[in-house]
Amino acid sequence: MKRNILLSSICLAFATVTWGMTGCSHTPKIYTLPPDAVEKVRSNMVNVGVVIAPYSAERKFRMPAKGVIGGAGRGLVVGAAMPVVAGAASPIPGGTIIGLLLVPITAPVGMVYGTVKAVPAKEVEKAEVAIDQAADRLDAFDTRGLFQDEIVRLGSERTGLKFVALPGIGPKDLKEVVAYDQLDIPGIDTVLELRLEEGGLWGLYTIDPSSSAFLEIRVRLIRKQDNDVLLEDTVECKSEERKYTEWAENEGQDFYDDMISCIPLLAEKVVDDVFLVYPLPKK
Amino acid sequence: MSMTEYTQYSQLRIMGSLKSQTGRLRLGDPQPSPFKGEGRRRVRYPIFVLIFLFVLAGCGTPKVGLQPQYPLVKKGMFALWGKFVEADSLQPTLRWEPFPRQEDHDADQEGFLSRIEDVRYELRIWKTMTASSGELVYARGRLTLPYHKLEEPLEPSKKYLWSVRAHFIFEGEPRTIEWGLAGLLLRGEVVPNPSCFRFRTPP
Repeated sequence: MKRNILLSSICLAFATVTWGMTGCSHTPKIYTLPPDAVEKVRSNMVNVGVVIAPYSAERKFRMPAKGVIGGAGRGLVVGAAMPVVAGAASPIPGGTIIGLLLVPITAPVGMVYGTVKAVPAKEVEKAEVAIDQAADRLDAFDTRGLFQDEIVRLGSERTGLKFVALPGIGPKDLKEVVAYDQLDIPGIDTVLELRLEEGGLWGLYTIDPSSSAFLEIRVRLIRKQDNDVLLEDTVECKSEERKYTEWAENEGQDFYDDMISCIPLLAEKVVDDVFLVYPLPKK
Repeated sequence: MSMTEYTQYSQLRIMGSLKSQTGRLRLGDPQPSPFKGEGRRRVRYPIFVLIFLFVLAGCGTPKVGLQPQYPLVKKGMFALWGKFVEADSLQPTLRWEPFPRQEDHDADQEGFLSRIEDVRYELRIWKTMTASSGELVYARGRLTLPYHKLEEPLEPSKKYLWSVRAHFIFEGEPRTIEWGLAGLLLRGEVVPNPSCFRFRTPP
């Protein structure tokens, strides 16, 4: 019985590590398609309409633990999880079990560490206000317009296709599916639909995590004639890492600037991946 | 134990598990080993440990795109990404695989390579603090050779990310290959990202 538990633990740890190493690395679909299929899709395009959903990206922030109580709570969780994860990741048979046995020691240590190392609650709340204001400024700034213009500019410069911005058209919420064949957009044969899905600051779940400003975009290439989705993917931009309170300095200006600087990078990634990258065949 | 024997043994174990689902045998009930003198512990543990080590070691370094020839990618066994290898000067000559590579020739069953022309390389270098992203400090396009000596010196004792890709014309249309990356491949992220190649400048 004990042996079975041990073997099951090893299998679980094996699966966890495999998932952990591969799960967070997303491969865009375009890189996995046969080159002929990609070129066939591209060969039927002439005029591309660029549509961007008018709704704001969902805000997602990884904040530090707030004050002594928050620090103690998060320290407890991190302290309990750390030996289990380390055990699972180690090549030692039964590492997860060993990790579990260490939890009664590491959890209280984590709690004490969290209590000592936590950022004062007032400091976190002050930073939160500054970052929220910066996020509001981003919403007020026409990021979507900038993104749309950048796609049109890069697409026209780098591909042999004609790119046209289609303002006022696009899904009004996350679930809406637009029937482009029903819309009066003369001359457009293909629609590049973009949705700003998530944005904010994200990092590991620690007491005072370093986080990256990030922006995630959903891309769909749709044939106007029959609304057939030709290509679909998600692309992401991440900045250098900083502490939450550092992001909040100067009224969150660094966060604001890094989010804006993601726009041309994402536009380039979309144009390259959808219209230019030739997925090299593998033997 | 031969592979055939082990397969037969595994099948017996699977049959045992199926029986347990029907209530005839419970999970954990002892199963007779068909191999005299060999305990299951001796058979299974080395396999699990080997698989584990194989996965953790990363089965070599995952890579896509053109790979560097200088500075080379050097990755620790359990590291996700490469190390910041020290370059020989503040104006190093970066080198990479020429396109098309041997593996492209090997995989070219459709005669794709015979239809491309005007291969050029694009090189970018970013200065980085935390290696999660960086500031673009050097970019060159339309390079005809698979190496480039930097025309301006970089800052001393700084960390840099870099990558390269090939552009070409395919049946009259501009095309590119994806950026060269190594380690845990973040192909869905814009460059620079932690999968880009790494070096640091000397003091």
